[in-house]
Amino acid sequence: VRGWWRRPLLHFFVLGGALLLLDRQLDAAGPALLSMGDASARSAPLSDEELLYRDARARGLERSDALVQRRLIRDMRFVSDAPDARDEDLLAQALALGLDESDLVVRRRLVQRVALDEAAAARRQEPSEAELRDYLERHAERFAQPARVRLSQVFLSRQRRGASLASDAEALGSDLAGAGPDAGAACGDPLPLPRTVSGSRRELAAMFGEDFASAAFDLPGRSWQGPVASAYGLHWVWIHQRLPARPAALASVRSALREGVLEERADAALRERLAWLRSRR
Amino acid sequence: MRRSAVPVFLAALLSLAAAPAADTAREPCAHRNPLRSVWFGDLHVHTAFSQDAATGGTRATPRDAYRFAKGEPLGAPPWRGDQPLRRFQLDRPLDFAAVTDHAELLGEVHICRTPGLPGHDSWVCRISRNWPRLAFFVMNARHSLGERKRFGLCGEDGAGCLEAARTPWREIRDAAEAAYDRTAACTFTSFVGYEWTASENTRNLHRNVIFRNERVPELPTSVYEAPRVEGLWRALRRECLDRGDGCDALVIPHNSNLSDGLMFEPSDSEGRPLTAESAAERARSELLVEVMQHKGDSECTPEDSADELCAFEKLSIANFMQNYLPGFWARPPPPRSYVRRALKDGLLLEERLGVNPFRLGMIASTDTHLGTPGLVREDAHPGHGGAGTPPSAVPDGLPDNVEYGPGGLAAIWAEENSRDSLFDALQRREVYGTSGPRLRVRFFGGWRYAEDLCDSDTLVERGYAHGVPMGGQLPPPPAAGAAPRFAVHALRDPGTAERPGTPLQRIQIVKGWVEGGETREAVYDVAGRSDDAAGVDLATCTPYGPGADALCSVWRDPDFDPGQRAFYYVRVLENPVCRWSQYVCNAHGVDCARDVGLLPPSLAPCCAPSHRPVIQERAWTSPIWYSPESGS
Repeated sequence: VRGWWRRPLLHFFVLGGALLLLDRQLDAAGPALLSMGDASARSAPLSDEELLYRDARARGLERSDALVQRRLIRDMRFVSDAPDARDEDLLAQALALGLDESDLVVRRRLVQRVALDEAAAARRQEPSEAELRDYLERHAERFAQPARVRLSQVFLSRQRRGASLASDAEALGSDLAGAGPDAGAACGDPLPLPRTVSGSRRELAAMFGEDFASAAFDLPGRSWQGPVASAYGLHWVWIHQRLPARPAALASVRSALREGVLEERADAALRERLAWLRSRR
Repeated sequence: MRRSAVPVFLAALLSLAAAPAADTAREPCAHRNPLRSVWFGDLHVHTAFSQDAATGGTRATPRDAYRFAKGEPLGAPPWRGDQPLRRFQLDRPLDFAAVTDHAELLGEVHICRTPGLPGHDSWVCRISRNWPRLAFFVMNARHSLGERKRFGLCGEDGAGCLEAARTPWREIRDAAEAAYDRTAACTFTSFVGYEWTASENTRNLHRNVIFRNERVPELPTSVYEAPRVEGLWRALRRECLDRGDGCDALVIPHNSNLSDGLMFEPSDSEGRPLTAESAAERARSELLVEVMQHKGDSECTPEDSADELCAFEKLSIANFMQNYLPGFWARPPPPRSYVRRALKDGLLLEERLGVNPFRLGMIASTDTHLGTPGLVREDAHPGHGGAGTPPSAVPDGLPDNVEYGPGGLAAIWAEENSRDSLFDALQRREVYGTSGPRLRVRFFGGWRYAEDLCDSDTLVERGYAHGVPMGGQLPPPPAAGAAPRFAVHALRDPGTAERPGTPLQRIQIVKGWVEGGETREAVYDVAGRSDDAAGVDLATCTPYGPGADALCSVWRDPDFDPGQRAFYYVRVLENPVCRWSQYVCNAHGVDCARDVGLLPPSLAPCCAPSHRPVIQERAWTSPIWYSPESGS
């Protein structure tokens, strides 16, 4: 019996057994990932899913959905004793046998189909101007244009002045006291950041650091104020102008509003459908 | 003669079609700086639409990734039901980002994740859902080994996957549109993009494609449609650049360190030596390179240079396959895998062909596979997220291959934070990369910069007025015997109130040139200190020693020869800090004197001789080039 391990029959059984185990493993493990695009179905209680599934069947989607059809035809061709039959006949056989009711994939597809149909219907019509305006009003804060401040600054370098930084800053403050905004132009240390700049809190923080940005929004205007600490040293600051936060103009956020309205509309349509289905039970 | 009205009507229709779409309109930015501001972002981001991210448990969609970039928190794997067990948030929002999911697997991922789509139950998808690690290997190995046929689940001719790709591609475009701030505040810019994921026998040739605006091809070009990079360039020309409607695209190679020398070979994809024509095509098509990201640094290697600072975030493998083979198989990447070598070879090729095919500006990005653009903090690195293993629990130990890291950022000098302004800057290469921090680096080259420019407030104005910024070409020398001068200024990252930026250590200028038909290089320290007075206490990760808020220099090339073509780029170094892995080792109380040999596998690298506990964060600017022809 030398070479028994070379026999094809043994290979057949070993490989077959391995494949069987593999297949069972796959089925037992279940899907580890959730599908995209069905977030609402995913997070909703099961009864929502059941409602949508029944709705899909009531509308006969299992007979009209192309993906469900293809799956049922493929499954039927596998189990049928006449696999060469026409697609229409295989589909009829599958439905008669109730393959669609026992197939989890068909079920999820039908649920997803109802949700997608509702979303697609909701997105079909472009939002009206009134809808865009309404959305903007309800989300005014999200679209608000941030407050800005326009300032001039005179810089004293921590690195360059070391221990004398604070006293130098005090001396510079004395020189600038009572002077106009242009007086700072010839003073201070070089820094490759603008002497006069207009920025939001975030833009100023990106340049000078957060402490400076916070302070800039609290300083009184029309006089030299300081010393204000930045990431790099101390500054004397002249506030020229302060622009408060303001609502965005509709035209400038139109595409974001459109996206928002369509998303909201799709969600609402699905919720309404579910409420209606529930009320009929 | 009576003329038909039809051609006129058709012409009118065509002109309407060619006119910019209404939604390209935007308010002018309130903050517009003619001397340009620096904007920080991430141009390499994967979400759940990428197979290797999805199999790693990532659920973030492109919309989620953009929200994260703008400062919102985001959940990350592992998950308990719908609840993420990890949550991340940027301490500073980004100014711009591009989601760049793999073009090849957009269709396949959608099919595998959407019950009911034909192919959902194919063996590949079942493996993908149940054994993600195996799926990651199988699907990526097929790409990496140069397999050009789509999986069976895509149908006879791949049409199934192309059709399925439309939905994610539409979603990627809509997500970018929803994230783009078109108001005068100009707080955030999104770019539509994708990654073309080609490899030759696991030698990485990946490129990111970034589009100027919302006018993009109907579908991304994947390696199935364009197996060679020349095919990608041609497809982009045909389906975007030549359309005449404002569609514009950049192709940015990355991870040349994993290309086993292939990325910058002086030949085309068929192995034919570059000609003037093919070199020009490459020069036209690729203006930038991603010099650093999650999977290491691609600047230069100590194996090919006396520059000891090349020993930075190096991988010990030359291609992807070596990740999966026993250690003795691994060998370091060859010199041609690195950008500095390519820049030098480019000069040599220019001498021979009259065209420099490797005139590359530099950026960095993350390559996150968690949908977390810009998450580059060393003290909070969640791992790359693309290794194909969905963690079953929050990692107890190093969350990733110890050689990988959080990656870097792209910095762009542009007048305002809008798509056109940023894209223009990328095209003129006025950009630089950082290994994470937001330090500001100005770099100008010219012939007439005053030596006391650093003492003046007008460095930037005069920088532009009397020379060119990073990414440019030096103008002709004004007189025989002139030598170029370079003005360079670096300002430390201001950081946040909780985490101030790290002081600067020094500025270096890296020069490459051709002499006697051979390439050479030199590195000059031009500002700061090169000693090791500054360091970091490894036990507490507390930095110590002197450092600078700002460094500045006007440097004159002492060895300039007007007959030698050359490039100059700047490297700015921060003081050393703890590397991400050291933070993790410390958090787990690892004491190598006591624990070596006793640590679990997830912490064993902490005490391996190859462990790098310290990182010296840095920035690399795009080069400034000099050609003798420009002087003739």
